[in-house]
Parts: sequence; structure tokens; C-alpha cells
Amino acid sequence: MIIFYILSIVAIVSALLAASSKNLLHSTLWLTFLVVDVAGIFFYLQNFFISAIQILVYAGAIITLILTSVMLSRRYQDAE
Amino acid sequence: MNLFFFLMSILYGIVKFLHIDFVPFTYQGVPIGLWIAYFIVAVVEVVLVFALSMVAVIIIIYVFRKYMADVQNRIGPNRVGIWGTLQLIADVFKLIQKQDIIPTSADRTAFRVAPYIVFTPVILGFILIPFGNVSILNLMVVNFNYTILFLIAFMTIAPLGEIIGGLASHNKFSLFGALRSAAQDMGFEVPMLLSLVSVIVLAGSYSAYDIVTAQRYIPFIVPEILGFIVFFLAMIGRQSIPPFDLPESGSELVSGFSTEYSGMRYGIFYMGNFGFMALSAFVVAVIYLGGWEGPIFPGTVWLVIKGMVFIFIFLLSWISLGRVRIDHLLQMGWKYLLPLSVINLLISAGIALYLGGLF
Repeated sequence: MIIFYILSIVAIVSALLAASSKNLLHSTLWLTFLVVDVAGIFFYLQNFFISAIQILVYAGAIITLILTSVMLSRRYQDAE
Repeated sequence: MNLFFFLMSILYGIVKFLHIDFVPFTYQGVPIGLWIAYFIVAVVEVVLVFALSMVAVIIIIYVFRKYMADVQNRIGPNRVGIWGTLQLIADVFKLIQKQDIIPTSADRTAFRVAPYIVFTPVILGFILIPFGNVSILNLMVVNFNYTILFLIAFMTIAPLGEIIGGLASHNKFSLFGALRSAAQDMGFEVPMLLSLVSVIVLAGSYSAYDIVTAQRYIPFIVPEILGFIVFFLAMIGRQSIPPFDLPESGSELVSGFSTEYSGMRYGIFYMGNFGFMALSAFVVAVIYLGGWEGPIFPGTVWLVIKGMVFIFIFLLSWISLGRVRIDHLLQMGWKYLLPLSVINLLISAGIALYLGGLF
């Protein structure tokens, strides 16, 4: 049970950091961390299929799309 | 717990390791005193697989350099060790000694994190590969119902590190490399997953173990030759080796996403790429050539032989083929590979429906 609480606290903290970070790239990194962490929660709860799909879809595809849009965003280009 | 029981539990663990090939995730049903034995077995197996994957990477890099030198009429590494076998270790020491340079304008955190995002999933993926099912040479660390899904999931994380590394460098060439890497990812991911789905349909299971045992009479390359071609091309594309090396094309973008990387960070990218090559060769061997199935030799030997064949094909394509253009690459991914994989899915669904007893 303690593993579940650790994973949940990490998920909440990384979600807060993802929402509050000024830097778009950092907030995407925290979002990736959150997604993998949620996959870990599913894995701990023995729902292996959902866990694999969580990694496959969110960490694999959605984060790639978000990174692409970050790459093309005005704020990121101005920072460069 | 007394010493005798502890030693017995270790012995029990070793016996388990040699004959039965899975470590339970939940320790329900396991006698209380034997948790330690299970834990030790798990640690030993993970360490063994980690060592095996590192050795595989070292051998592949050595073979690649010698082979490339041979093709280009050079000698290749020949000074350190016999026939230059210790060259890679010397290179690692050189990379560790180098100054740690991070560009001033770079995003320092993301720049530091990126190589590990490439490297870690590769190592995790090796744990899920079934290396064999009988006798002493038995290295299947985990066996549960969704291993092949997790393998592919880990393989989809790895290119994320390339994009993050290219973005964090704040460099025009790196940015182009990252953009191309993202485009290539999206272009190849859908056909790759669809051809994997057709394998799952034929085997009727998400487990790598079941996929291999379903191929004991006919390997899946026979009914699914289209899917094999699509998956193999997608694997070459995911590794970004020539002819699909657009993210790091040396002649246009200095070296793409890894332009600003030097020292051990570059080394980790390098090891991650070669590890990914070994991992994808093993995955192709498991899902299309029947993994450990084969006469005479133990299963692990068969899997390594099949994997090495694919690694040599990867290296051959790396050395001998020219680069395609980015629009041609995306056109190939979306207009040709995607329909081919859908056709393949229909064919394998038909086979599973009408000739289901074959597999």
C-alpha cells in the first residue's frame, strides 16, 4: 500500500509542477513524468493492459505531439 | 529466520531460476520465508539481463566498426587489445575524461535528462524479451500476459529523448533534427503498431511467450510477409539509421539532435542507439522468426543467432544505402506502409478466423 501512496504523491506533485512551470519544455517533461507515474500506479494495481496502453499512447504519441507543438510555439522560439 | 532456512530459501530460489521462468509480481501464494529467495532470483536475473544487454551492445559496436572498415577497405580498430577488441572500453574512458560542456543558451535540466530517456527504456525492454524456455540457458525474467505490449511501449518512449535533447540544445541544427525525429516517429508508429496487432491476432495473446510458442510449426514470417516488411522498415526508421537517418543526417545537420552533446552524454546516446538496434533485432526475431524455437541448440542460442542476422542486415543497410528525402520518407510511411499493414491485418484476421488451428 505504501508504494501506491508514494506513486500518488509523486503524481500529484509532478502534475502541479507541470501546470505551474513557466518553461514549456519543463512542463512537458513533468507531464511525461506524470504519465509514466500513472502507468506505474496502474501496474501496481495489476491492470497491466491499461498500464501498457498508458505508456504507449500518452508517453509515446501524445507527448511527441505536445513536444512538436512546443517546438513551433512563439514563446519557445522567442526564448531561443 | 534461522540461517538454515535462509540458505534453503536461496537454494529453492536457484532451483526456481533454473526450471521455472517467472517472478511473480504479487507475492501471494508464495510461502512467507521464500520472499527473500524470490527477491534474490529477481535481482540476479535482472543483473544478468543487464550484463547481457551491455555485452551485446559492446559486441555490436565492435562488429559494426570492423565491418564498416572492411566495406570501406580500411583496417578498423586494431591497436587496443587483440584485433582492437578493447577499443570500445578505451573510448569509454576517453569520453569520461572529456570536459562536460553544456551550451550557455541550452535548457540545462532538459539537456541533462535527454540521454537517459533514450537509454533507460532500452535496458527495460531487454528484461521483457523471452530468451528461452527450457534448460539452464533460460533467461526469461518476467512472464505475464502483456509483455509484448510493454516491449513496444518502451520502444516508443526512446525516440522521445532525441526530441527533448534536440529541443533543449537551442541550436538550429538540433531543432531541425528534433523536428525530423518527431515527424519520422509519427510516420512510422502507426504502421508498426498495426503490423504488431496482426501478430497479436494470429497468436491470440499479448504475451511474448505465447507469441513464440504459437510459432512452433510455422513462423509468422510465412503468413505475414507484408507485416514483416512493414515492421522491419519501421524498425530501421525508429533507430534512425541510414537510409532513414534524417534526424542526424551528418551532411546537412551537423549531427542533428546530438550536435551539442559531447563526452559521456554523447556516449550514452550512442550506447542507447546501439542498444535499441539490438533490442529491435531481438523483437523482430521473437515476433516473426519464432524466437527460441529451433532444433539441436538451446533456445537462447537460437534467439541470439536470429537476432544477429537482423543486426547484420541493419549494419549492412547502414553502410551501403543512401539517405532518402524527408518528404519521400513521410510519403512512404503514410501512403504505402499504412495501407500495407492494414491489408496484412485483414489477411491475418482471415487466417485466424478460418485456419485458426494452424497456430
